[in-house]
Amino acid sequence: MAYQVRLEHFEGPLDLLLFLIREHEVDIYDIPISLVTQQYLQYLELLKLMDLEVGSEYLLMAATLLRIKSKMLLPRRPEEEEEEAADPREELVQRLLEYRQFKEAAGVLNEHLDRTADIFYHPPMENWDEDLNGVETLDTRLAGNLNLWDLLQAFKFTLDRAKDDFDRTVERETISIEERMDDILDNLKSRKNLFFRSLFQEDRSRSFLIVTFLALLELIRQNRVVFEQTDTLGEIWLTRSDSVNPAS
Amino acid sequence: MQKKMIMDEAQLDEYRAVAEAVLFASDAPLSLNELSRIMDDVGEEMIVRCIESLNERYEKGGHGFEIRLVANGYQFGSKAAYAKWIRRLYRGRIPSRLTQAALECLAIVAYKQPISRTEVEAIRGVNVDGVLRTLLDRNLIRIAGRGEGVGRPILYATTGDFLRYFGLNKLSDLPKLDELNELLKDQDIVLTEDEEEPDPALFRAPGRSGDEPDGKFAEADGNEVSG
Repeated sequence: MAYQVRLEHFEGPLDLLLFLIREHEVDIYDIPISLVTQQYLQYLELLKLMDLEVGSEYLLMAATLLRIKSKMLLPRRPEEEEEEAADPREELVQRLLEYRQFKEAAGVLNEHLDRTADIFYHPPMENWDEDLNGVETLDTRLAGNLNLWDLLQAFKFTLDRAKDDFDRTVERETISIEERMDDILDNLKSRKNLFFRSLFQEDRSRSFLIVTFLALLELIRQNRVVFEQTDTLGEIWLTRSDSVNPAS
Repeated sequence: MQKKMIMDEAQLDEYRAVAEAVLFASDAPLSLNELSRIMDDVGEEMIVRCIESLNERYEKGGHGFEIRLVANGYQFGSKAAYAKWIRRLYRGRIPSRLTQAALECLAIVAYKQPISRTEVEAIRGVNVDGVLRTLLDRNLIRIAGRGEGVGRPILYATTGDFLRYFGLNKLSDLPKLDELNELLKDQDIVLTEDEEEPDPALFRAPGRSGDEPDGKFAEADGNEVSG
């Protein structure tokens, strides 16, 4: 596999938890721990399925969730009851709240960028003359508040809908991520944009769907496609980035 | 009285041209203080007047640039409307926009500086080695010394380029963390006592609420910097 998609595109276990909390509209101060744990583990499995290397921090968080879950199942001793035994979720909630405020602050910075990205100074900023090709700072080019968890979620739904007769012994479709990337770009040549969904025909094998998703991630990373989500239907669109901003 | 005003005008003309020449030739943004020193201690009030007057002229004359105050320094900046052409000029040389990961790290450093790598990692819950290196490379953060703790960890802080990059005049232009928390609390979903945990079936429902009021913060700190 020439392209190794790294998990650093995803913002980490806390980010995944915040995503799940927001997505399912649960109370961050009173997290339904068994459901969130179950969801969290499902996403980890999905990442593994795609051969994405799940970092130790994700596994650590999984262990933490399971530990909290088991603690909450244990009956409390009467003497603990009296001194208001600490909620096993307390520490996690504090971490989530702290992380969340900085995520919000990052959003503020991003808005400032929106306003200043089009202003060029004289003298220019110092860090401009470097060769930028090797710099590992590519934006994920997701519009608005769409993040990679949203994409992963959309992919999860297509995967869930996909035919379940996936047989591990059946010969896999041998399409590479590179080929699929070219496919997608070709598709985008003839039309301006595509539905995210339309790339995942349900009659294709799971490995085909996974390759497609990895190809998409790589195209995002290379800034060659842009994702947008319409507010009303929650439908995710995909556009060639050069048609969005031909000058850059 | 009239004579005095004419004198003033003539003086302004002169100083204005000097300020323009100095800013044009400068290889770095200039603070009021520096400009004043260069211009025979003319007084900051006069310099502000010069710059306002220059900007009025640029505006009237339909120029493509103006003088902007960013990171406490004056410098020429192009107008956003002409970004498309400037991008052609710099094709391939403009750094790509920061990733979400980089923005989050930067936000943590900005609010908590000076801060060590491990402290940033504790907040983000992931390794930030690579991101910090990128931010250092782009001169958005700097090494600000070493901490007291075990191993005397390297501490990071934001740079002047950080302010310039985000069009900020000073760090306090960013909203306070308390303000951010208040906004976040308003969005919190709080279940009342008698509500059950959501049904697992709900967890499979597709679609998203997608109603994050992103625009809020622009209003909250609403002090865009312009010259």
